[in-house]
Amino acid sequence: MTNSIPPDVAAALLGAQGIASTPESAEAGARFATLVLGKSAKAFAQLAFEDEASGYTAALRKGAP
Amino acid sequence: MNDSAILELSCAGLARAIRDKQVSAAKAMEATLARAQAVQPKLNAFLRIDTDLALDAARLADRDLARGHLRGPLHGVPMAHKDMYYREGVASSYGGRIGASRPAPSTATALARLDAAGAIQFGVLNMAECAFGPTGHNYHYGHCRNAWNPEYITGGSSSGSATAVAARATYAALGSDTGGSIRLPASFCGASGIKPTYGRVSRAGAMPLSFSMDTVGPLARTVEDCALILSALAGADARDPLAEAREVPDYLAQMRRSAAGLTIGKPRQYFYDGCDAEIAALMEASLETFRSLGATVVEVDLPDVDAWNAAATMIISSEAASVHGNWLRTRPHEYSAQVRARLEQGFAIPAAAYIDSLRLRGVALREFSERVFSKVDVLHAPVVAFQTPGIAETDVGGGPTMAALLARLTRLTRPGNFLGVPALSLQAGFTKAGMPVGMQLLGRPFDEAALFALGHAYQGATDFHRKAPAL
Repeated sequence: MTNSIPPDVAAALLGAQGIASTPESAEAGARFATLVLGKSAKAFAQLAFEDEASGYTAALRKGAP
Repeated sequence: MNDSAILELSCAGLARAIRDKQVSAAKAMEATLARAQAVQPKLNAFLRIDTDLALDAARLADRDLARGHLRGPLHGVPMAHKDMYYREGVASSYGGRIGASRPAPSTATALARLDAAGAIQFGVLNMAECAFGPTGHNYHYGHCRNAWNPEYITGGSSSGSATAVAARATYAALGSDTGGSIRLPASFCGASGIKPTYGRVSRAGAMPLSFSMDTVGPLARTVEDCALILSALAGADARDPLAEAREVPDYLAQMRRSAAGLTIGKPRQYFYDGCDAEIAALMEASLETFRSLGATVVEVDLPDVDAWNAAATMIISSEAASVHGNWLRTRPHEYSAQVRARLEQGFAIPAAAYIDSLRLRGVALREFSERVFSKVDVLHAPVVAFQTPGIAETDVGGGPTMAALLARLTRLTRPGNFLGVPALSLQAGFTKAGMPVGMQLLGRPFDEAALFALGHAYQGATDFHRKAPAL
């Protein structure tokens, strides 16, 4: 389970990356990030220490008939 | 052959007719251009039609053929493409204003390969702005409309590609699929479309959205057309380091093998959650057709697809935010409210979560292969679990209901992008309201051939793909 991202944190993240936010866009960004982080938290917690992004390309090639 | 008969031919059928000199490329182009002009006011499918250039190119193709020079398997076939494939010296709009003043430095590999196969591009097609929208709404150039009923959405982002194919206003069209953008419009408009395995087709010269998920593929009238066009598109490309070097199979030959002996999986979880009863019945009927063709159908259990969908969303959002970051900082007003709002959301995703999403992909694909592809050759599922919505009811702009609507639309397509496996969308019938319904077949990585074999056999036993909308 993850904690939610509050709108002020989302606004700070956008601002730090040069993106001007409004209260509405910060709220939407916070809601969006909280939702997807919550849905993926369990799967991320099960990742092995050694799993890395390049494992995908290997799996793609290995999975071919 | 009169214009109506020419327009009823498939892409493969027209290529044969031109080769056999039953119809000239110029005559086919004239018929196509007239059809495109005729349906444009109703569908808003085209962003540009290059009449004079296309006719000149078609006449040249006829002269080549008269001299005995067949350029390739698509010699003289008219095509229009989603306006995100670069043509040297020409600006692609990306369905918005942001790219419209940026002439391309070189031609997309996909276009170059279709040129080399003999196809003739006669225009560019409407699309969701920046390929970042699954409905077919476009706030810059006007909403694209479904050929089966212009009050309904086309689906997106390859909106113009699907509705133009359905309307017989192009023989085929390139689309792109990052979260469902080939399969959704193919399903809503009654076309066939193949999202190839990630890396099977070069992305060089295609507008990027999410470089880890973007795929290039065709929408066409038949599965055979998809196989024919993918044969021209697929293969290694020095301009795209992720384009796979493995040999491209003879898709047309493999497409003709029997469906008998192939095993199809029906998912027990996820894909039928809350599914409309009419759509579920059409899916079951299509499975029955596959059984009658000799395929075996078994039920399969799936892993936690919801988590994969969330991870896919994080990858697409983060990469799209990065790709568009410079323009979002300097020219944010040139995006529509919806696309700008969606792009901005990507900046709220923590970097570690983005990387975790990428790490999860390999784990997910291994798990899916073990659970599903150890038991079946292909997974069968609906493309969308609900009936085609209207344009007005889904015109939500960047408002508070946007996220839920868009997530609902891509819920069944996005897992295929996360896994990167090939997925073929083809017609499974019509609702009582007369709108097409699509199924998707997901295969093992680089096994597009199995999808084509099943899809071609299915279209040999059904006639949904032959029906044309009354426009």
